[in-house]
Amino acid sequence: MWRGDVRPAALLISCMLISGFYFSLRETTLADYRQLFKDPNFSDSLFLSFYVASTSTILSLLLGLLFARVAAKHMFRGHALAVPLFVPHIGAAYLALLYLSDVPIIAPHEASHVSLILTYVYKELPFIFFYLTPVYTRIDRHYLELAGMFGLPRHKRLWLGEGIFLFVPVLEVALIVFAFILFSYEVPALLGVTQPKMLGVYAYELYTTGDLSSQPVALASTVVVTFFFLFIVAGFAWILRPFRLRLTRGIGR
Amino acid sequence: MRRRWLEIILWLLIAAPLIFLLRHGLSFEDRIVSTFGTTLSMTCVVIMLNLLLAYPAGKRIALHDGRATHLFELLISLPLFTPIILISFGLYFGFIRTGLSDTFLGVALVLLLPTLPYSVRMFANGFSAIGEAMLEQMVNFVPGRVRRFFLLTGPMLESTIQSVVLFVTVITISQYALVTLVGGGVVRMISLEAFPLFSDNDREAGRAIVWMLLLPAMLYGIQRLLFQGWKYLLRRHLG
Repeated sequence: MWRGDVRPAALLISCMLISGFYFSLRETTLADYRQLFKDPNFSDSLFLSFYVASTSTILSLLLGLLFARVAAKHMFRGHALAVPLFVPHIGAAYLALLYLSDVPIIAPHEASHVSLILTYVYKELPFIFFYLTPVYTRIDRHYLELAGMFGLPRHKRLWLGEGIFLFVPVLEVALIVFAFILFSYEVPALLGVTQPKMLGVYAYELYTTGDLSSQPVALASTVVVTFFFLFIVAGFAWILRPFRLRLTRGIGR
Repeated sequence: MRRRWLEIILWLLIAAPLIFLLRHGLSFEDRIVSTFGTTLSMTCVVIMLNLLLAYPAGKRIALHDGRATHLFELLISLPLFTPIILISFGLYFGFIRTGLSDTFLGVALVLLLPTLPYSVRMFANGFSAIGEAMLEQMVNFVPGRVRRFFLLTGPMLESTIQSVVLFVTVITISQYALVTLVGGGVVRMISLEAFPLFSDNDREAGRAIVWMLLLPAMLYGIQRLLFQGWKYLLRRHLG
């Protein structure tokens, strides 16, 4: 069939996700969840992860949007921004260790986590840029002109001419980047402080170090965090649904 | 003028840190070389699996609008929104049962979780950029499926395949937690060498990083060469 097939990829992915989730669920008891919720380190790491992930996402999103806007108006092509795409995340973390270690407040292993955020901006800004630039260039300029013709104020003009079309892709890429940072292990393990830890580091260390009795607690954290985040994503999807349909099918059709 | 300054400042900010690293030089110890071999073959296998699975999936998503396709698309993008490292704890139990734990294949499969969603998205974008009308026209031109791929579809998807190769390489070589959890330390990738060195702030770390930075550039270059050869053959075939 020349029209392709999604099933092999979907089957493979869902098999792995479901078996991972199933075994996490099976190996845990209610007591493990109670222990997880009693652990103050868990809530600390949740807060820290949300703080780091949201700051880095917002920063790289703002800069990425700005650059994409400039690029779409053909003022620059952004070849330089492709360089971080060639740098693995661990490599970027090492760059931060190498160059930021002597700077007072923003150095790695400082409680401010600025070096962590900067590393993520370095890596994710290009991703967002290359995700949004095609979207920006595809927007029909006539909408902006039309809004101008009606003499609308600047913010309304931008929203109706560009904002509406960017809304869904921006939220999509923001959510991808946010989830990626929220659950990552390598970069925060290299740049973070010993206490509190980011979510990925917290769970990984609970699982690998110490005695076997803490393993079920790590598995419990899998179940809790997965449910929690999928709930958020489902909420977003529900809010965006009418929006998305209207945009792709065209208003009034 | 303003545009040029913007470019120059960006280049300095982004690329300069990398240039200073090159003074560390490369090391060719046996262990590093064998780790490098594993990393290279793992990356190639993951790239191949990605291309094989994402190509038809992206095509279907770009050309179909059915409810089932949307559902499958959602399933494929789920790993982007789930904590994969945490899922891999449980997945390891499943892999023990199927004999995939601590094996090359098991690690290759688990590395599909963070890479395949991106690849499928890229292929879907690539196919929708070509467009359904054009694809139908191509079927009329060259009816044979394999021939059509080599003559038309492949070269037209060049930029998509390039980005997939780059993305998969970069993600694959920077996974430490997934490779240690599922590979059990038996499957040794370059990140397993680099990570402990980085966390101890070792002076040797510079060497590992040079290897890590070279690999994506190398694979990208190889892929560029392959495409050049492909297009050269194509031109000779047509001309």
